[in-house]
Amino acid sequence: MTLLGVAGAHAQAAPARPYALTEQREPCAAYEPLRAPFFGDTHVHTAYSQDASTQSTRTTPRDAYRFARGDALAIQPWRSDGSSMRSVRIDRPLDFTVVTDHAEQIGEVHICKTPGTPGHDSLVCRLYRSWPRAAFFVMNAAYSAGGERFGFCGENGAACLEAAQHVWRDTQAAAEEAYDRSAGCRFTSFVGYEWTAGVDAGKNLHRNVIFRNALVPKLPLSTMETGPNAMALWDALARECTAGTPGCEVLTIPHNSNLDGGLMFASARSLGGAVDAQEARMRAFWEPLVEVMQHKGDSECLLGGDTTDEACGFEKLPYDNFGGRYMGFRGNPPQRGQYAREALKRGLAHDAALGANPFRFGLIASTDTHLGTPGLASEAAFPGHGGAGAADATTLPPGLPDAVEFGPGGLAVVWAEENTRDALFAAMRRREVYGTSGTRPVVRFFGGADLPESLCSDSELVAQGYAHGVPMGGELRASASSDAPRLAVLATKDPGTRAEPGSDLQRIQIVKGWLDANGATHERVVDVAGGENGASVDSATCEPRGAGHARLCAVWRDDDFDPRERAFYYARVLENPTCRWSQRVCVAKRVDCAKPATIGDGLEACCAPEHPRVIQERAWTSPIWVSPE
Amino acid sequence: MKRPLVRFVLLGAALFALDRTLGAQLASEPPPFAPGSLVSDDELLYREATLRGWHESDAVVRRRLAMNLAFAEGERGRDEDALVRDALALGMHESDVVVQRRLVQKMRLAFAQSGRAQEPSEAELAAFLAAHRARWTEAPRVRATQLYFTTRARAEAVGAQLPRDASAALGLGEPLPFAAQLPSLSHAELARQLGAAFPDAAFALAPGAWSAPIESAYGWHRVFVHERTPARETPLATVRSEVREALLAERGDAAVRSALAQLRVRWRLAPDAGYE
Repeated sequence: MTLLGVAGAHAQAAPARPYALTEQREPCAAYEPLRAPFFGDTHVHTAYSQDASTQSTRTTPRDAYRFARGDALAIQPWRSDGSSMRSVRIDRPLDFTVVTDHAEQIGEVHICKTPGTPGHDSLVCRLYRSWPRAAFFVMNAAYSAGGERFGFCGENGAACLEAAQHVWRDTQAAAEEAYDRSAGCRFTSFVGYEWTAGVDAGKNLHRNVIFRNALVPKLPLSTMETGPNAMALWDALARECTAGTPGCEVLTIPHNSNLDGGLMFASARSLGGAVDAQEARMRAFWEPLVEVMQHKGDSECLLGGDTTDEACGFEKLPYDNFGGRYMGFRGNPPQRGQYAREALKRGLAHDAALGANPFRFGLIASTDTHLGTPGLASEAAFPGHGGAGAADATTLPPGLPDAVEFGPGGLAVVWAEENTRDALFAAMRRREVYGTSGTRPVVRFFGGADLPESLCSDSELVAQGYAHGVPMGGELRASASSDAPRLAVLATKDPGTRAEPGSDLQRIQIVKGWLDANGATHERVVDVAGGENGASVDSATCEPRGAGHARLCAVWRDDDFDPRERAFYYARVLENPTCRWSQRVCVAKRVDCAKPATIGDGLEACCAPEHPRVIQERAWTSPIWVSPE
Repeated sequence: MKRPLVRFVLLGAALFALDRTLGAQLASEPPPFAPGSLVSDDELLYREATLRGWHESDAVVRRRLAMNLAFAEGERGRDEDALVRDALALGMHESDVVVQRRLVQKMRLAFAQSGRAQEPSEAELAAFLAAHRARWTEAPRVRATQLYFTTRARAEAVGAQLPRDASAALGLGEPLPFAAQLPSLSHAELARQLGAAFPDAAFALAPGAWSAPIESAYGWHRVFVHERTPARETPLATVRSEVREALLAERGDAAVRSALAQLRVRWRLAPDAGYE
């Protein structure tokens, strides 16, 4: 007996170009039918974002795309002659990038920066120019308080909307200029923006909105137009993009559920409301992906309840919403319901009750850089993130360059046939993607009852995986008599560079979540390759100790499988531990916590008990779901 | 030049001379900004444009001003000249974002055009290409098939079985997450995929034969190079228009920077506004 049917379109080996071509461009010289991994960043802010600009970021979208392709970039602080005090560069270029500036107030920021415009001399704009840090709070508070525009925007916000249109056109032009439409296919840009919904003074419901091609609405639809409920965003995108702009296609990616105060994976129609079947279907369509890791920490899982998975103790924020950071009394400790694993489990229950799973999402990660530095995700030289960090306009602050709980963020990896917008977007839609915490391991993940047990010694593993199963993001259907699925996972370490060699792999884990006959959800985490290897890092010197694996492979069968139950499986690949960015700064500054005199200004966090000195970098694949027929 | 006073006098004389020279080229006017003010580039460009009277003469600006005033008055039938005259008298050009943007862009373009005016000679194009060779050089590339083995011993043991036809050998290795057949890749692209040590060895191989075991970040490989494409300096004839455009763009940018610097000197402003 076999596990029946592959629910998606991947029962066969991947055919040539299984996606429509929606653009005029040269075909790529390199086309891989079995797909190749493309590394990118889907979450990038530049000077067009209000928060980034009030942190002295001057990077334009064009600069950000050049940076993604490998160019050096000057960043704040700035000297009075306009030169910068710091410069950054990624050691390996990205394959794709989406600049996602906050749609809210892009027009206002433009007006405040453009002399002669109506509103340029308004009190808010004067504050913006003279005291940007204060303007950050004032402007945020204004739009969070109900979408009211400032008076200088004129009647119905016309002046600000007109200015926003100008910025939006420039964003599109920058993406077009950066996109390699030649046969070389060296780089792909997408037009995108961030829809920055927040409620209750800091509960984050943010989404990145990513368009398939150059056909996009006339304005980025912001929360000023839609309000904070994502259903209104999807309705507006359906109206303005799908129906209103022929050829327009779009998806939305929620992020920072770890700051949602418990709201991201609840109803998107109304705060505190119930998810119904229509909403579940809409959400499954509009949100095929979730950003599981970024600058502001990890959103995979939280210890507690039935989660005893120690690896969940990773890059956690100590509060459940942004209010907790800026107004301590507004924050609560994080709750498990804010995390992706709980949402995936909750989705199984919705599927059983409603016939649709609103949380059938794949996993990616990105940086959320507010310096306009896509892909700058290495722990080795983290300059802070500008928008939310300690970077200053005119001086280099002493000590750590950012709040200790933040970090450089992660990367998105997309399995696609070629590096084009159509191919990458199709892969995002079918969830054949994974996220990393910033390093570049390569991971394949297949599921299917007919996968050969010997796959790890078969050089045709990938072809066999597509022929006999589904890749990450896929769906399987089981009949009452179906065999348990086999799951094949193959990972190689991040090769790194000569200057920064990659870390060895420690283990591969399969994370299973399921819904039992009584409607209760459960989870289980199994080491399927590698394991505890004694590797560690000397936190006093940041020297790694012990070896791991350059490559790991496993084929695992779920012996507890019950074909009547809904379940998901995803793979998590853990690297050997290394020094976290903050500890690298502490070591470089020669901090010795036993000698208070060595703890300089801004370095107090080095010796705080909650300071995580070590990081275990990782990758999370998108899940594979199994549902009863 | 060791005495501060002498240096000061000479510097002052130089600034004065520059000021007089500029006076002949730029619109003459009383200084529009207080000396030492922080003023952005766009503000400078806008002010220079209005001092040249472009807010009165530019067709786009005139249409915009006429439209604005007609809308505000709610009357129809007045001719454009009258509307523009009244709109200017009301200072409407000072508060309209489209007018501002138009004049800033037009001024920037005008300065850039002055730098682009002279057609580059063949010698200048060749010199520019030579100075920016990296931009117009195709990196060497190699197209290969690689078979992967976790140990050197396994990579050596397979030697006798390796067929002359590389495509018939694909089943002999162990699996990697990516394809055994590598597309045409540069040194940097190979390093990104297989680690920093691999490309040197791969680029040293002669095409058409299997290599001895080569180490990568993941283990050992037998490599069959199908094709090597050497680095190619793209000839001027192929990229002439691209090089010409890049050179003119550089000259245009330099002209804008120079003009802005001259305006700052002329109006005795701080060197940089701090905002773009």
